[in-house]
Amino acid sequence: MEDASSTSGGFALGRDRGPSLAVWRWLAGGAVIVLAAALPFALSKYEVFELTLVMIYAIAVLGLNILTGYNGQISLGHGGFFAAGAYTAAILMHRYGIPYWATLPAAALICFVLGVLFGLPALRFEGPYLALVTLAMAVAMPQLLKYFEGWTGGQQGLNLTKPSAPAFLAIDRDRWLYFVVLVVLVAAMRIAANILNGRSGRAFVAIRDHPIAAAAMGIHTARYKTLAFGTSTLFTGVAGALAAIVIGYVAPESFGLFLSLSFLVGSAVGGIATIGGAIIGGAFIEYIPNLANDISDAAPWAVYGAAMLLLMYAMPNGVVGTVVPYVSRTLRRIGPLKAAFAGNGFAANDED
Amino acid sequence: MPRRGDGSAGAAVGARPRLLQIENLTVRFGGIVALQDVSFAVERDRITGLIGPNGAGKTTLFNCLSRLYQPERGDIRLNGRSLARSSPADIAALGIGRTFQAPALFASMSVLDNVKIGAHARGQSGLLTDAVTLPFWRREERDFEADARATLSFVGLADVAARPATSLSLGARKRVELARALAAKPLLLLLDEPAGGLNHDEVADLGNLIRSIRDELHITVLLVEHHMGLVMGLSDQVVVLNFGRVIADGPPAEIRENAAVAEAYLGTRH
Ligand SMILES: Nc1ncnc2c1ncn2[C@@H]1O[C@H](COP(=O)(O)OP(=O)(O)O)[C@@H](O)[C@H]1O
Ligand SMILES: [Mg+2]
Repeated sequence: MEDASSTSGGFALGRDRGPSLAVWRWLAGGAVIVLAAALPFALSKYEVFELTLVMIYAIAVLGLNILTGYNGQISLGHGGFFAAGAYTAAILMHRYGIPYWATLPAAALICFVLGVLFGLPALRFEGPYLALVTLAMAVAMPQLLKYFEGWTGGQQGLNLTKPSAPAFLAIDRDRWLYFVVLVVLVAAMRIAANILNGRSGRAFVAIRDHPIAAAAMGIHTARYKTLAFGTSTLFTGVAGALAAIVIGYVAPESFGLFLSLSFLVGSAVGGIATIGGAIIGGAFIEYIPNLANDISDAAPWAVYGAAMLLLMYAMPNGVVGTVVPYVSRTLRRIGPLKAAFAGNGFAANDED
Repeated sequence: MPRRGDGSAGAAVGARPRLLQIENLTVRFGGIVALQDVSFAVERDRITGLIGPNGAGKTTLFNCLSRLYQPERGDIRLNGRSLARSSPADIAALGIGRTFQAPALFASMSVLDNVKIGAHARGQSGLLTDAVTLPFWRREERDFEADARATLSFVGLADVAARPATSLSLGARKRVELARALAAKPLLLLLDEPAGGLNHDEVADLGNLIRSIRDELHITVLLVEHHMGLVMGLSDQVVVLNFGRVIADGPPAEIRENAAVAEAYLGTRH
């Protein structure tokens, strides 16, 4: 996290780097969205389903990035908030017949409140201790879900009817849900970028970088750490709700400790303090375990571990966290060169 | 930068209104008495130097003003209002800005974002308003950006706004800290050894900068500094601390002649 661009992340606007670059970023973003919209028509139904899960995991990882990457609070318990979002959607749909789309704001609200409630006692803990506290959340969740059988369906879980596309759109369920999730993902990334480029997001990062200086600047660190927790779990909870809708089924076993660890792995692989890295993280979570199985069904987790180590060795700040700073450093290096030829160097720069 | 509203409610004892009053401040760390019954006042629109040998308690006093340390006894009043019930994060909004002895920049951020953080206490925008509007559509964000750029020009760093703060030289980093503190538009600016580690020319530039902070921005300055030439040249009033006690308080010319001060610095008895 040595580079200034890590605050704005892969998706955010680099207004400091001049308007032309911002325009290029908008164009590139638009092109990616158009491509993403065309993609499902070139792929099989199952491949579309897989991509939908990639995007869902990306939203969950984005939530974790806000907390761990930008605010410096580690969480091993985000699988628990993902579960809370999933069960919110499942219970509302299954028991109350609420339409699937209306469960998203409900999951967002509930998971925000849960995150704030969890974030308040978490204020007392830092680093490895906070990791332990959140770990408790992750290990307790499956059993809690079984315990409240009357609501959650216990061990069997809840089966949901997968929603279909509106009648005027002649597309199948999987492609329809792909688009629903794509819209949520784009909105989530935009909202995350807005927050992180705004007053609140700067406060999150300031607390991570230097909590004492942050307080001296008038940032109420406890308030913003709690808000960062709630914002983070809101994103992850919405992802959980989408997972319940898309998979059409929730059960306690899907939300164990491994899910929480996967989010952390996805976060680190993509770039912990980036927005765009969440997509790489989502892809890693969805594809690498299966790929590892294909490579060696005797020792898939050895392959998974090796893939993780290799990536982290090659790109210690994650894919986006390494590539984006590299590109902007290169651009900067070209900048001063040009300036030097024009006869004005950087006076204030002694060491780099 | 426009001047901040002046709430001149403070007791106007003496020739000039007092912006800050330190009253019988005592701070102990275990057995060490870092500050012992320290009292002095800082007059509005002036530069007050705070000097004393290493370990005299200067930084401890700043940390009390920032509410990072809780004094055992005594009070601090800004414009007559006690800071005793304020939290560290309230201090910026009350009008006290500071720099740190060891540079305390936000390492991952650009120079510009560091300075924008300085304006945090003046802002209103919350999580929800940040989330739903694009930053460059929002008035406050535009104002912060314009203020931050103006402040960077004021300290002579306009060219490096987009650079990562950590890529700058020590001298430039210290000026970023100064700009960050100024972005809050404080009434009172606390500078903790701003000349530490600077070369001769940089110290001269810094002196001019501090003077224009007083004269152009009308901000009161409390300056902790070891560079005697700088403090004596700049200050309207000098307070001398030694082993946590005030041993002298007066105009620079008087402090230069003061036997107790010479003794504290030379460590010899006459
Ligand atoms: N947080 C702390 N814990 C223990 N002792 C401290 C602490 N801060 C300062 N001190 C002690 O208080 C005394 C004054 O320190 P300080 O205020 O840093 O001096 P100065 O800034 O004048 O050099 C020193 O003896 C120092 O060791
Ligand atoms: Mg000191």
